[in-house]
Amino acid sequence: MRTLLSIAARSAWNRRLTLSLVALCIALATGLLLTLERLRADVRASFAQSVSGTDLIVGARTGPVQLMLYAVFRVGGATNSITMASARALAEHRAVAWTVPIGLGDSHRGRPVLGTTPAYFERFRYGDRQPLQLAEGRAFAGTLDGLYEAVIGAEVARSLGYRTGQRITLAHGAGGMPGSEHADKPFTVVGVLARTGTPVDRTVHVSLQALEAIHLDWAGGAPLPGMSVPADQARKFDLEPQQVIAVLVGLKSRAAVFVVQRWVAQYEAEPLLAVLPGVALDELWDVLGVGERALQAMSGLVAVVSLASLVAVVLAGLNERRRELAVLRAVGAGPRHVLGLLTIEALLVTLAGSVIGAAVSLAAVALAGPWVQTQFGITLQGGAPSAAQALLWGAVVLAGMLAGLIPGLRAYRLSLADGLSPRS
Amino acid sequence: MRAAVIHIHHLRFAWPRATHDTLAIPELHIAAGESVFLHGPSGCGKSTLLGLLAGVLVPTAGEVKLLGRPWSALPGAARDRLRADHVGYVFQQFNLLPYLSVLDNVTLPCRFSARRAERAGDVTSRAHELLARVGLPDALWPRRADELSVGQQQRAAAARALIGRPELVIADEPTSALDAALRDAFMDLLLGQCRDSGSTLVFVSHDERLAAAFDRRLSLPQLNRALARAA
Repeated sequence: MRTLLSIAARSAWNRRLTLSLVALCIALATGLLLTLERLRADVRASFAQSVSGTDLIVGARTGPVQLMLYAVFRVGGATNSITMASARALAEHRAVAWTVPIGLGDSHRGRPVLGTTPAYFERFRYGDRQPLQLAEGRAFAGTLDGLYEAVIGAEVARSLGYRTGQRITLAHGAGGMPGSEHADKPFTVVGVLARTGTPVDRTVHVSLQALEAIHLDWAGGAPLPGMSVPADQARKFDLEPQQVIAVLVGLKSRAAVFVVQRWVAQYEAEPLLAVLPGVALDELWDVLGVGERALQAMSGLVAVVSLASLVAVVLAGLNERRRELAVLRAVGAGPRHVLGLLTIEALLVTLAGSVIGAAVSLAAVALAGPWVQTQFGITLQGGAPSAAQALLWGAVVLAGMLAGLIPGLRAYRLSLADGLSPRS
Repeated sequence: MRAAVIHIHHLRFAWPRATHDTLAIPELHIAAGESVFLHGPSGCGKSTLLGLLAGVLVPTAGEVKLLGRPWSALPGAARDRLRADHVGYVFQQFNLLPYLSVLDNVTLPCRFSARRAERAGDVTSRAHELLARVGLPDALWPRRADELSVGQQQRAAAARALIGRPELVIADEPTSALDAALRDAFMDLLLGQCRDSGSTLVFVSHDERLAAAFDRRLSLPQLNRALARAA
């Protein structure tokens, strides 16, 4: 066995140029597989951690996935809202500990603007029930004096270079349309949140009253002609919101979650929907999972192609090596040694490739981790490979060894037929 | 009479799917220590006979015995072991594994056969001795085999065939790639070394001028009844 191993290694080294190209293919495939697996697992983890500590999210009766999309991920148009009366009724339910209403619809330079109450900064949890923390400044006051105050997420601050004291204007809807700016009522950034790796990082938070104020002189998505309420004057109006997009609900006891959910579903004044964030996140992930599976299938295919190239290269080289095999037979090697030799060679090449691939993948994750964190808010787990990664790696090596059996068996048959005199 | 190293009895051999036999040899004994010159035109079945002697091919009928053991009675792995233990083989050319050193090529049989290693004693020093004896300067020993000239490679191959004193050395036209001067030197060397180690030598060539130095001279066309019948 040691003899075969050393002969296989030296024979492979002798053809190192071709074989290293194959090993490179395998390294690429392994790196792709492992990096993708890490990315998938970590995206899923950070996805699942976008909201925690909230027992129910209540909104108008749409789909659970849609409700999650705008209430948690702040994407997509929030087309339906619920009345403040419903929100208040919910808050007074005896099983409910707290509620945080949220309003959406405006944006600041492409970042979603979320209207809420100061309670948001105390109640909202992400990850492993981690509270929001201020990196700078304070939460908005929620008073009339502090009407035009905003708190921005870490990513907003980083990408736009904002600090506390920055004056910003909000745009109606997704912005970008001329005249859609609420330029007459600028806001002041009073706080910057610490990074969370969740959609909070991309969000500009203001009070619900502020959202009312900037829309006083608007109707149907456009400024009312001939009507303009100056920023200071707005404080004299009734700024209590009539409608909100969704309500985050915390319960006194998690055991009551289905009771409250049923109560919401049977609420008579208007059709409501209550979703369990964890369940809805899983559902949403299943929707996104199609892309994930497509990526996995792709990298699986790359692995198959690279192993096919291994088989092709070793098979193609076999004819020129019939002499070598005859020499080995003459000094006492059996056909099984020949089979072993070719299989070991494939295994060595696969091992070399997959070790390089794994190393590159680990290094890439370690090096690109901070960048991915700032760019996409996804925390990549550096360090030791996960069980799933180890399994994938093992699968590549095993597949490489099995692929090596193909040229191995061909060589076995050749050496039986050739004996000591290769007939080509 | 000395004990037979090779004993052929009612041998018939046909390649798979061939319509008639390639070889049919009723009886042949080759004694221990004997040197035999086997000749015949190309295509007369010389390589096939060598394959049968080395146990790489198995007779269709009859027996080929090495040291009293019929190859056909042994399973494949046992045949490989028997060959590794008792047979040294020199090819026409391309004898060496190009990616191993000359020295590693020479010691290769001892890696596949514990018996050869044991009979060689200290394998490395025995290989040095043989390499010196076949006239390869020690500067060449650690070199890659494919850096040697054809004549040097054939001499290294002879050293490999002889290491561990196998009972049978088979040489398949080992001089056909050599020029006249090299050829004569190689012949002297091979015959002398076989005599020294008591090995039986079966030497195949179509060059009958070489036959004089051998104990016995065999013509395959005369031995082979299959050819006679086919003709």
